[in-house]
Amino acid sequence: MEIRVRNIRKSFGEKTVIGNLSLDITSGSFTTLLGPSGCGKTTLLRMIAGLETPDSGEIYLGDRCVFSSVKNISIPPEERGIGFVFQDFALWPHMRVRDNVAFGLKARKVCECVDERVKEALHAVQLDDYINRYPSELSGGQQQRVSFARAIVTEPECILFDEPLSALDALLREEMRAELKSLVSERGITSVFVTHDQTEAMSMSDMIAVMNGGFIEQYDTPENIYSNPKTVFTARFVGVSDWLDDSRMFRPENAVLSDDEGMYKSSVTGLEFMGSCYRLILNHEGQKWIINADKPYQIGSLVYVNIENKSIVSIGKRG
Amino acid sequence: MKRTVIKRIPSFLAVVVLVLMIICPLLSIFREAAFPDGNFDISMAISTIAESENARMIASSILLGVLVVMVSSLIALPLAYIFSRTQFARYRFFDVIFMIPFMTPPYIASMGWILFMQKRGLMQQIFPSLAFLSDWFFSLGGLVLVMSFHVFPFMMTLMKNAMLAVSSSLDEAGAVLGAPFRVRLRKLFFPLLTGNYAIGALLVFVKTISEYGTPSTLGRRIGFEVFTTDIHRYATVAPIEFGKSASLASVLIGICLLIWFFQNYVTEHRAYSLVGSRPGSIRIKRMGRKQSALCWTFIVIVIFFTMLIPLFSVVTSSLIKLRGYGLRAGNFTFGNYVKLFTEDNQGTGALLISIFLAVSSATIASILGTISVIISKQAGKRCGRLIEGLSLIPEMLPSIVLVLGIMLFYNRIYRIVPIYGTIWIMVLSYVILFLPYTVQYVTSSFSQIGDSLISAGRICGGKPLYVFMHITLPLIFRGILSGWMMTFIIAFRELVTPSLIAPTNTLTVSTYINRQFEQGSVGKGMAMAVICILFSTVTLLILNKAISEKRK
Repeated sequence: MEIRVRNIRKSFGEKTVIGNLSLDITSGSFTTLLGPSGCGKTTLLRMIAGLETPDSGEIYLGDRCVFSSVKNISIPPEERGIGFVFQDFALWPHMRVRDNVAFGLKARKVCECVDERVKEALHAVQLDDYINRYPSELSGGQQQRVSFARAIVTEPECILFDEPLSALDALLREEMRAELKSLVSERGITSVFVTHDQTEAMSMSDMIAVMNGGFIEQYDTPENIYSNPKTVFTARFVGVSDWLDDSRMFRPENAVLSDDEGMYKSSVTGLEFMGSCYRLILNHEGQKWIINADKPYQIGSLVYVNIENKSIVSIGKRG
Repeated sequence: MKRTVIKRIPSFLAVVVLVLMIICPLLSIFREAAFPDGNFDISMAISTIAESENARMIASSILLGVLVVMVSSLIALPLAYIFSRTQFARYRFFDVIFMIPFMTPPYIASMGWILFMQKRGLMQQIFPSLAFLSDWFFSLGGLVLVMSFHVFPFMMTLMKNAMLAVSSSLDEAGAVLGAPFRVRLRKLFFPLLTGNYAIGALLVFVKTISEYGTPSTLGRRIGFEVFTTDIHRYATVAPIEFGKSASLASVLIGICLLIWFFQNYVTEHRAYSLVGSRPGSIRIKRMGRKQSALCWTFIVIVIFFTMLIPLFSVVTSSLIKLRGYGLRAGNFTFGNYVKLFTEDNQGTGALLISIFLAVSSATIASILGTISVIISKQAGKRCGRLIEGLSLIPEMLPSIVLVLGIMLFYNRIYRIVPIYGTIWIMVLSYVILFLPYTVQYVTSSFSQIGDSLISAGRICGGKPLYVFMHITLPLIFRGILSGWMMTFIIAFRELVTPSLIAPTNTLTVSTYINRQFEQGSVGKGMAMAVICILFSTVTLLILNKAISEKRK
């Protein structure tokens, strides 16, 4: 299901959270809204779901207009037919896993094969044996799986994810990343995923919308976002960026270090051992660069940095 | 535009209902005090207050409040420390034991004390040599003790929780930096708790000057008049002077409001937020034998005086056949319990009336309270706070003041709402007095429901009503149930309302006990008292069990 957001604005009191934002999300794609906290990504997601009302603009789910300030349309969340996975899982503590998952079917008055569909959904998240447990009797990862099951059981065309992995510990998070991705792609579900974690965004997404201060800085594939950032903000927020001046940057892995000759002379001001490599903190004419090296350097020693011209990205606009 | 108007109707209605229920009675008090003939005339109110006996009464009320704060601090602070920062914290059954003073209505406890201490009372029969204590007991000192014995658990619980919130690392940081125990206590521990202590002290003060039960039994016997007893006397004993009663009530309202504002100020400005304290953040050092023995002694003494003596006295008196014979083998009987139900139908009637009042008011108050909380959550921020604030007023003011207001208000509008002098005004009064219990319990269970639980319900396709019935209501049900039970327990033994506005010849458990104690058979009165305590306790145990079972 294609999602189209048109000229959306939203403020809470004096504070503008979203300022005139438009975004098209292709059917069946996995799109990530990436940005620092307070950039408006969660608000945008909640407006698509119908949990927040925009001040103005339009939102379309497929061909159906679910919000329009001009046409005075505002479809409540229960009639939008989408799935939503919450950051805190939002499992109802007074219901067993079975009833949590079945809720969407019962609320929509789906009567036939409720049991089978609940079992199917729990099977998809490998929780067949936990059907009669209460949420409090499950681990964090299991709880999150239940909330996936709850989102897919109604077979929505689109699922919105609000930082669903941030409450899990690091190891589990990586495992769940792959699981979540295959769960939605197998079913061809359009997914919108909110996160502030760039690794998560890069590894999972077809498209990333980098957001900052209520605007979209760049909307592109993960590869382009990384290699060809269009704004200073994107360059700085995604990956490590080393700057030649205010508008030209390169990614550290494109730099080649040399002990005695090269284009950019710089001095070593810090050294961190990272396990697989050393991370050098360099000073080049007042700019702080971070570059990985395969051997340690003495602090204070000089080192030359070489960068091919095609690896230098020029960014016009300041972000 | 239209939609927003419709949306506001519930909150508007809630405000109107609450104003009618709570504010109008309060206004009738001011009207009675300041507009005696329909014109503003405050001179009578001032002259009432200035009358030497009333001025003395005001001074002695405040003195009583201060003394009770001091004595209950002496009991509560060491206990709070013992139960929060020593190995005694692990003995959870003390939590239950220290609910006993709360389960024993103050008027019953004072009767127990009177029966114990009076001439030829139980104490003199057991320890004749201690007779000299009796004279001392029937004085301000005794009154202060009995009231402190009732009220100290409030301060204990408050301070215990405050002390539990001070994580050990704060103390350890001081120790690592070289401060010895006494210095840490003085420079770290106490300053962190002064705000909470101030709140506790003010709470105890308000509770003391609002209390009617003990002053009306023990206080009256020693001729010590306070606000509540004077308000009651002017409103019930001929010559009835509502004006004087209302003037005193106004002063009492003023004092209470002043203290609540002050307490609010302290809460906002002085209480440190000690968040980040998790279970286990308090490391308990094992005490030496001597210290441990000292703690045990203190706990046992407190339990002995605050619980065992009054309970022993009440239970024994209910089992004694002939008071003249005293504690003597063969003079014990269950006859008082039998007579309570067979001699006449007063006892049974009082029990039934109290059960009726408790059930009906608990039910109505839970429904109204729940609705008002729900509306206040839906309403805007300001309107929500207004509704919440209004519904909590009865908690802040002495019940005698509210009941006086209800009496004056419904007396005045008798032609429109003819419930004055019927049992229904009692139901109404109970509902008003106990509304805050439900409001507090339901509000707190609401605060435990994350917004996302409701949002998730909507996303899954539930219409607002469906989500309310299947998610919100089950989640706040425990709060509603707790509110109901609490109201039931308190309403069952309520004394102020029936002693002010009960219809003629209608006795409740409390007024029955009072009447038997003053002029009838003490044995029967105490038998009823025992039943009352058992009833409260059993209900509370059921409540605790129901809650813990639901909490799976």
